[in-house]
This record gives sequence, structure tokens and C-alpha cells, in this order.
Amino acid sequence: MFGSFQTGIGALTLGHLIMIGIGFVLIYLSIAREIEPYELLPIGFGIIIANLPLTGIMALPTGEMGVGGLLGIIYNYGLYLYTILPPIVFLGLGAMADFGSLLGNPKTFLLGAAAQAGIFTSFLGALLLGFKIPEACSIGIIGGADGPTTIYTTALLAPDLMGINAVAAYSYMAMVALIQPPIIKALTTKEERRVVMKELRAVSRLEKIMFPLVALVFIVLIAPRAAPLIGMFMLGNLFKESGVVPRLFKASQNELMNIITIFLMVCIGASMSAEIILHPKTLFILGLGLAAFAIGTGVGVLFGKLMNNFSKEGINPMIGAAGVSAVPMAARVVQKLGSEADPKNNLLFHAFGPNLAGVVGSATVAGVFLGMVG
Amino acid sequence: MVEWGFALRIVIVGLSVVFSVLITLAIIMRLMGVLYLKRDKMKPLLTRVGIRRPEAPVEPEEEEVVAPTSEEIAAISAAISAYLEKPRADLEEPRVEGPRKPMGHVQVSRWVLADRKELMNASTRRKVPRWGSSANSNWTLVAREELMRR
Repeated sequence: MFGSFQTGIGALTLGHLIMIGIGFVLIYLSIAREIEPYELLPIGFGIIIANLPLTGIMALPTGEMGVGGLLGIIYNYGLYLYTILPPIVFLGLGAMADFGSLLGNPKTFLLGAAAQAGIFTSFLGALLLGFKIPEACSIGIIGGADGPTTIYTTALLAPDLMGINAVAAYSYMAMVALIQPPIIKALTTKEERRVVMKELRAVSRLEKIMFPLVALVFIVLIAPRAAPLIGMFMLGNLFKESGVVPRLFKASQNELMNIITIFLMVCIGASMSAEIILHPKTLFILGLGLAAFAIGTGVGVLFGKLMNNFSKEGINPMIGAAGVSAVPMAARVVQKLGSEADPKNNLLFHAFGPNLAGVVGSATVAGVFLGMVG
Repeated sequence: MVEWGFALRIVIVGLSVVFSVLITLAIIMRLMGVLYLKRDKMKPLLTRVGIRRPEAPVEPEEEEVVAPTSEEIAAISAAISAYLEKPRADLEEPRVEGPRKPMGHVQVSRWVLADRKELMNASTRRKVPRWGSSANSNWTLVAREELMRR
């Protein structure tokens, strides 16, 4: 009666059901707990739709006409083949970033660099666990706590790990408030957490306009493969700081960013099929990602302590933890711990400095990885 | 088989690049901040070397001393008379203004009323009235200063 009509029920496997369950959990976390909802909700939905059998929605375009599934086409052209979606997200992030706190205290650039140690330790850890060098690079970059950087690097170096790396990065970013406090408290004394930092100086408009231009030229000259990420990031920031293109600034941080986020996150979720994810190496990746976050936080705090010892003006070592990026959650964690130690202590703006330096630092590391391995 | 030599090279190059890039950016932006904060002191460096053009001393704008004209005195007297004719309750008003035109720059305060004789005889220092100029709005204060001086 139904002829060649075929339902998906018969093709469902246990793996599909597990993945659909994971999709539901991510959607639950994003709605009920509001954990990274802009990322985890579409990712969760993408996981569900990709693991429903016989949809063909993730079929990559084939033949001259490039016929493929809806998400397969976006994934293929936006990520796999051309990798244009993550840099466009960076444009929006740049438009949202305010480098005032970093420029007000440029010493905090160092904390952003120190916290990248987590990337390299996880990279070595991944190699020890048997991953190839390109895969290890993409796993290590999870420690940069920067979603688009992780996706961009993974798309170019190890596309098979795209889904799990992205979910690991965004999940750990969401869990910064759980991961960081015990590490920070273990590495600092209460006296150190009480250190009050000097008020940041006012930063002129000229400095804010010059920074994206100087940073672009300098970073891209040193690490040319970082150009798509750093270029888009600094362009977005220049839109903001120039003050003369309000429509472009608004479009970058709202409309464009939102549209790309929808496509990117649904595709990331849809790339997480049961065959790829339900594998022992997924657990290794999750473990290495967590280690990268923890080590980055620890090294950032220790570097903060070192700077505090050598600095005339006090530097609260906790702000080093914000160097792992995870904007702005890591800065909020520092502020919370600071106010717990001394209710009058306001560290939020001081922590934004290493926070943004971390974004620039992890994009630079991505450029190095791509330059040497890609 | 992992190429550990290459892997270590990636780590060393990566750490060196990220530290050198961020340290250099910190130094550049620090210098830029210092230059910006000291921009006034740096200005001579931007002019011709060795020739420092002395800046012309800024002289305070001289204010013309002008005695009130007979028209002004008449206007003030009229305002004062109108003021005194008001019932007691109205006198609690904080300020009574004289006619706006043609003597819009004349403004009489209660303080002035306290010593109208002094005011009438005052050689009042004020700017030459220019319609639309803010200099015209402060006539009362000028008169008050003059009375205080005496």
C-alpha cells in the first residue's frame, strides 16, 4: 500500500537514541538552566535532527549541481569547504568587545598570554593519548575557551572532531563558574584575593581606534594564518570605536551575528552523529578540554601572583584566571570571588583586560597551529 | 608514531609567538597611552626643531567701564517704583526683572533694591550691551560688585 515509502522508526539504533537524548539534555540545560542558550539550544536541536534516520538533512552536496541536505549544504560551504562562518562570528564579537580595560592597564596582556598554557599542555596530552598532531591542535585549542576559534581551527585541521570539540568548548565555557573557583582558591591566599587594584585610567578614543589597527597589522605579520579571525575581530571593533558607522556596528553585533550563530550552531549540532560521537575518544576529548581549562586558569593565577610580587601597584592574582577568555563569564567569576574576600573590592573591569587579551592570544595560537600544521 | 620533535617545536614556537605578540602590543599601547597623556608637552617636538615659537601671552579681555545711561537709570527707577508699589506678599518674590526691551540687559534684584541710592550713583562696570550675548545677562551682579567695592 505504501510502496517505497519508508519511515525512520525501523532504522533507529541505540546510538541514535542516545544522541537524541543528549540533544534533549542540551536543550533542557539551555532553557531550564539558561546555560549558554544561544549556543546549546541550536546545537541540541541540530543533534536531534541529525540523528533522526533517513532524513538526508546532513547529506553533503554532490555532483555538479551540488544537491545535498539543507544542513549539509550550510555545513559544507560554511565550515567544511570554506570555513567562513566562525570568522563572521568574530566580527560580531569584535563589535561587542571594549578594549578600554585592557588599554587602561596594558600589563594585563601578559596574563592573557600566560593562560594559553592550557592549550599547549592539552595538545601534548592529546598526543600522549594517541591523537594525531592536527587533532591534538584542535583539542588543545578548546583550552582557549573561545567557541569560534575552536570551531575554526577544528574545521581546518580535524573536521571529524568538529561537533564534540565545539560542544566541549561551549560546555566548559558555561561551566567556568564551577571549574575556576576551586582552582583559584587553591592557588591564592585570602590576602591575595583581597588585593585592591588601582583604578583604571581613562582611555582616549584615539587609543581605542588605534588598537585594532595596530593589533591587526602586528599579529597578522607575525602569525599570518590568524588573519581571518583577528581581521574580522578587529574590523568589528573598529566599527564600534570609530563611531562613524553605527549601522555597520549594529548589524555586526546583532543581525549578522545572530544569523550566523543560527546556521553555525545548528550545523555543529548536526555534525554530531552517533557514529562519530559514541566513541571512546570523545571521553578523552572532554577530559583534555577540561584539563586545558583548568591548567589555563591555574597558570594565569600563578602568573598573576608573580606579577603582583614584582609590581609597585597591586595586581590581584585572581584576574589571571580571566585570561582563559570565556568572555565575560571568567571575569564575573573573578569579580564574585573578589567581592567575597572583600565586599568593597571591584575587580570586574580589571578582569576584562586579561579576558580580552585571552581572546587575542587564543586566536594567535590558532594562527600558529594553522601555520605549522594546516 | 608521533613526531615529538615537531610537537615540541609547535609548543615552543606557539608560546614564543603568543608572548612576544602580546608583550609587544602591551608596550606599544602603553607608549601610545603615555604619549597621549603627555601630548601637550610633546607639541614642541612636532614643530620645527630648535625653534620654539613663543606663545603670545593671553591677555584678559578688558571690560569697558560704562556708566549707566539716563535711559537705563530711568528704566531701573521705573522697575523699582513698580516693585515698591506691589503688596507685601508679592515682595517675597526672589527677583524682579526690569523691562526686557529695549533695555533687556537691565535686571534688578532685591539686593539692589536694598540700596537704590548707591545704585543710582554707581559707576557701573559692565560690558557694552550686545543683543544676544550672554554678557548682557549679568548686569545685576556687576552692579552688586560695584556696591561691594564701595
